[in-house]
Amino acid sequence: MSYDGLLLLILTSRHRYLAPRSQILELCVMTGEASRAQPGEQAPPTERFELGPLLDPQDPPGRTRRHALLVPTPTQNVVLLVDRVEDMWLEPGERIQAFPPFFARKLRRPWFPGAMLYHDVPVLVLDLCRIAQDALNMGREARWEA
Amino acid sequence: MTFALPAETTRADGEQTVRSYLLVRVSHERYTILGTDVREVTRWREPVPVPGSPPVLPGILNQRGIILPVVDLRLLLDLPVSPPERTTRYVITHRGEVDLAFLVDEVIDLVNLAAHQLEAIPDGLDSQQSRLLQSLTRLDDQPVAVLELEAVINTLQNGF
Repeated sequence: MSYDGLLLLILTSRHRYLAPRSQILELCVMTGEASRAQPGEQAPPTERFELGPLLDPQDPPGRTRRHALLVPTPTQNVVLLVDRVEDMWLEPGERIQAFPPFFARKLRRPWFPGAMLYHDVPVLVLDLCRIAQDALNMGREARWEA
Repeated sequence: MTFALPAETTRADGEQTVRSYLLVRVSHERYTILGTDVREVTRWREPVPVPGSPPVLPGILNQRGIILPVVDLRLLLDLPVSPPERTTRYVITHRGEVDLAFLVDEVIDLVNLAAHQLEAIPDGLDSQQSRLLQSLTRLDDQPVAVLELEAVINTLQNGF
């Protein structure tokens, strides 16, 4: 997972996460039934998922104004909704610490390549591209089963 | 509060090699961990949970700038788990490329054991436990198991 030093601090109802800014196409605030299409332009196909409960079922969808992370996948763009997002630059000496292979293998999903210290507390780093792709696949499977 | 263990604890005592071990309590049982594998011992604090991790890996921890996976030794040894108490500790270990924070119920002491005090693992012992042990010994006339950190790491890497 590559990153250029600019990270996003992502807040959900219960947790905070970090993700490389380079993994998203766009960041915007959702206002009602916001459409990304310009007049006369066909809206690109997107699906929306609440990121909090996707990562942790105990993390309820937020009730505050939603922030949208537009994440590209090979087939379509995916919108991941969160409570709040802040930009964060890596300071000299700060780095993402990869999880040891055995730990990464034991996780239910390969969505957390590592963690980083933020005010001396470990914060999980997200692989948003992988999450978006898996969310799409899970959505398709759920529809197929229904 | 943390304290560092001696870096090198092996010494020749006549013809017997004596090694230092950290004596810990895990649930109601006592175990030792080779002192040279132990970096330090630190008080329990809530680990940061990682969604989707198994109960034996309850989260991660910042220890002096290094993010460590926490391993609940009680669950790994198939022993009963109780809530953290005043005595609950993390034993920070380093072996090869792997740094871990083992959650134990109590750190009791640092003990010296000579080779002749270590006995082979009896055949009848539970296989889940026995594959994590290097040998058995007795301290204060009570049985104590010597953990084999390499085997513990292999178990974590290959399945539990």
